[in-house]
Amino acid sequence: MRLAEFQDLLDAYGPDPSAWPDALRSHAERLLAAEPAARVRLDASQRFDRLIARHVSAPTASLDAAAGRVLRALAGELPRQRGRRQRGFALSWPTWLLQFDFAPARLRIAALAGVAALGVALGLVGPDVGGAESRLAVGSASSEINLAAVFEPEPLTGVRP
Amino acid sequence: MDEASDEDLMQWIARGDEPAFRQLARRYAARAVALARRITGNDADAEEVVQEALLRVWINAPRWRPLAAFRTWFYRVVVNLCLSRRRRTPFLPLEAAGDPADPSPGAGAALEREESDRRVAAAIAALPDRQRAAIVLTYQEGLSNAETAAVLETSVSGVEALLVRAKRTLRDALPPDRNGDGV
Repeated sequence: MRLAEFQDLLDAYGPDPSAWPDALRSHAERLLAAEPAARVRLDASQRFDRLIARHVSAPTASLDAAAGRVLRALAGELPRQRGRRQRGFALSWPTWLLQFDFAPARLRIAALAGVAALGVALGLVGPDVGGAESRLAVGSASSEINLAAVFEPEPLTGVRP
Repeated sequence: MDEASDEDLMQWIARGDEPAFRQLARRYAARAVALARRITGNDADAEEVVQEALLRVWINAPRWRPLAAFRTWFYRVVVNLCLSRRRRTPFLPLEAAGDPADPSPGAGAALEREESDRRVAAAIAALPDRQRAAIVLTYQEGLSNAETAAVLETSVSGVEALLVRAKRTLRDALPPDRNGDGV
């Protein structure tokens, strides 16, 4: 490990060796043992961390008062919760279905809607196959008459063919 | 209820338990305000952000899944609200206004310390948003890099990069004094 890499380790994980990744700790400790400049960097990092921690963790003014104002603002009636089932509705569905998480289905629903829209668009502007279908429909209509005759029951016996 | 874990309280809140919600709100309000103040640099914004974040907890509790610690999820909501608000309003460091000078004879050391704090505050305030958020989450909340990554919705290596860049910037902004200490 080089000195610059050691500095990055100090910046990323702090000066406490117990917080360093296992894979890097032994390299860092070897560098510390062999290189006095690494020791200087470690000491500087400890002082720097104390300085930042002292500032960032120092209580800011009137924190309790601010928290109290937030809590008072929430003291009134709370809005309706999202995704909470009504009792009657819940009783009418199996529990396993109610517990099923549909949230990840949004993408699939969007994909389905997209495919449906594509289908409609293709139907409107795509290749015209309606002519053949209508011809078939006409043929079917005319053949229905014949088929009706074929399946007509015998006039005398009433027996169907 | 006081001893209940955050996750237990969330289960109750999901069933519409208002006292459980108020308990959880009391547990996190002050810490969240402190976090939001450090990120937004504005007291009024911080209170609004925390109020909105807590309301989101209540509203979305039925859909919450305990895939991660509540604290991580809640801080993610707070940080995201802070960052989106920061995009709309300029940063005003908390200590920018300063305090009136103390006229008492032994106030020299205190003034020096205040000046030091002011410089640190200004340096942290000048950091890019996500670097500042990483610093605050690490030093104020004591989150590990993995937890900070979960809050900031990035990878652990992403957090490492944020911290390395932030500390490099802070070191440049806070030159060592004659004793070798920063500021």
